[in-house]
Amino acid sequence: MKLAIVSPFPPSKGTLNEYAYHLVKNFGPKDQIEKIIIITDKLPEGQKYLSEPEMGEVIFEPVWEFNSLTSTANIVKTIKKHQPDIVLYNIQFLSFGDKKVPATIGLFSPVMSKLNGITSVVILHNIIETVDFEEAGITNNPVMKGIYNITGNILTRTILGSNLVTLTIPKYVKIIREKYNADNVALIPHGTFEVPPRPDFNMSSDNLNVMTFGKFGTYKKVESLIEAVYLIRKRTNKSIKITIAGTDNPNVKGYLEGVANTYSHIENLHFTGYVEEEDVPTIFGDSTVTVFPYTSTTGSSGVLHQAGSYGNAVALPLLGDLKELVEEEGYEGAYFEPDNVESMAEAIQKLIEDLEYREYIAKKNYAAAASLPMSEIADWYLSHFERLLEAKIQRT
Amino acid sequence: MKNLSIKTLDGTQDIHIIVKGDLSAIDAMSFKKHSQRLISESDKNMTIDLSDVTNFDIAGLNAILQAHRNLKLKGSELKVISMRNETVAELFYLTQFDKYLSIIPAA
Repeated sequence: MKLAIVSPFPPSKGTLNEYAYHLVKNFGPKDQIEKIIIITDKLPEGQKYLSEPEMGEVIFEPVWEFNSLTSTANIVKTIKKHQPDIVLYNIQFLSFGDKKVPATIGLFSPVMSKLNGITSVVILHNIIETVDFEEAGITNNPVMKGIYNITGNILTRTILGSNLVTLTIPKYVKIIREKYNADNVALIPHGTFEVPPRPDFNMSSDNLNVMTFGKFGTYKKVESLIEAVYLIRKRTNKSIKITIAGTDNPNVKGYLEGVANTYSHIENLHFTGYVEEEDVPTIFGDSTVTVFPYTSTTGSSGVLHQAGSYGNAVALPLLGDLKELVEEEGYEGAYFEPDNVESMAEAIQKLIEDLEYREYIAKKNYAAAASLPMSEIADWYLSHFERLLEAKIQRT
Repeated sequence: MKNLSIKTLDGTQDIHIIVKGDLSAIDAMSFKKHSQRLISESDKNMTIDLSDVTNFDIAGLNAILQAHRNLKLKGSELKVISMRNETVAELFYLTQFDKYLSIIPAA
């Protein structure tokens, strides 16, 4: 099977780049996959796409750019050139741009691929129905919210024009099937990137390190985390390191630099910048607690799956139905009120001080992560691909 | 496997596995290992009876899918007898596995 994947790919900093990397790494060794064509966004000069021997035969086609009006045309042209059996889109609503026109045009490419005779599958990482536009920093204007909702509905219908849309959360599948009367929607869980050997779960009160990981500035903000740890330090007199691992969200450039300046008086506060793939195990391995200082959610968290795979205890915000979604996937956390420093401090402090509780959560998260490795999620996709290709043969 | 019971009947035509209780999380991983071992040791078809499964999650479904794929690679087939409780069986529908697994309703 010749598979094309449309997605940002490391070292591109585009969202979902790591997800694409792990998909390719796990599709590559499958007997059914003959070749993978990665139709990806262009890199700055001098950079080279990350490639591993286990990916097998991979062709990189850097043909599109964030916020470019020609992305869809270039993607479809490349697909027609390679004639893959399946094209898999690894996207969310702002994958092709944060400006209305290029973002919208980009989302037409899955259906355009299908219209050109190529079986088109979309992994849609969020749905418009569960986005809080205000909290996500998109808009707080009621008229604009209405416009975004209508546009979102139209775009969702467009995306549903592909052969299959996969969503990572059961509830999302129910919402989309019901609202759009769509039967080409299936649940495929997020999966765990790497499942390292079982950690020793040796809970310690020493070398405490509270870590957060992600792309910050929109709905992931680190101020409350810094203040919460500062509060715990004052209360307990413990030495606790704060690690902010990751970069600015591309839409909020300069955010972390501003935070670093504002909190320059806080000791033992570390900003790692972009975390290379090979450094991810160290970042999670050195962490006592991984915190999700989110004010809104847009889907299943890749960071939660990573934290689980390294046996991390986590502190999570009580946002909408996030708790339900997390537990549906078998994970567990200490919960806090979003954007509430006192509540976050309580959740983190409990994990730091109650070693038994921390161990219970760490073990539960590791079990959840280990039960769904990415190599097996690739099998879920292959099962769908095979079914779609069989149906195509029967039609012709 | 506190909440999971697995009974394996090795017949002449197929291997029949009766699963009862909680096919989720760590228990589902144990079941996956068990079924994979059986598949690697035999060329027979397999039937997994989930009639009396009362708790089923994505890890449980993944164990069933892995059994299906491993059997298919060997040229064998999997039949799944679905849960009596339709709510528990909902994941087959949400994942669309009901479209390509051979699923028999529970008696």
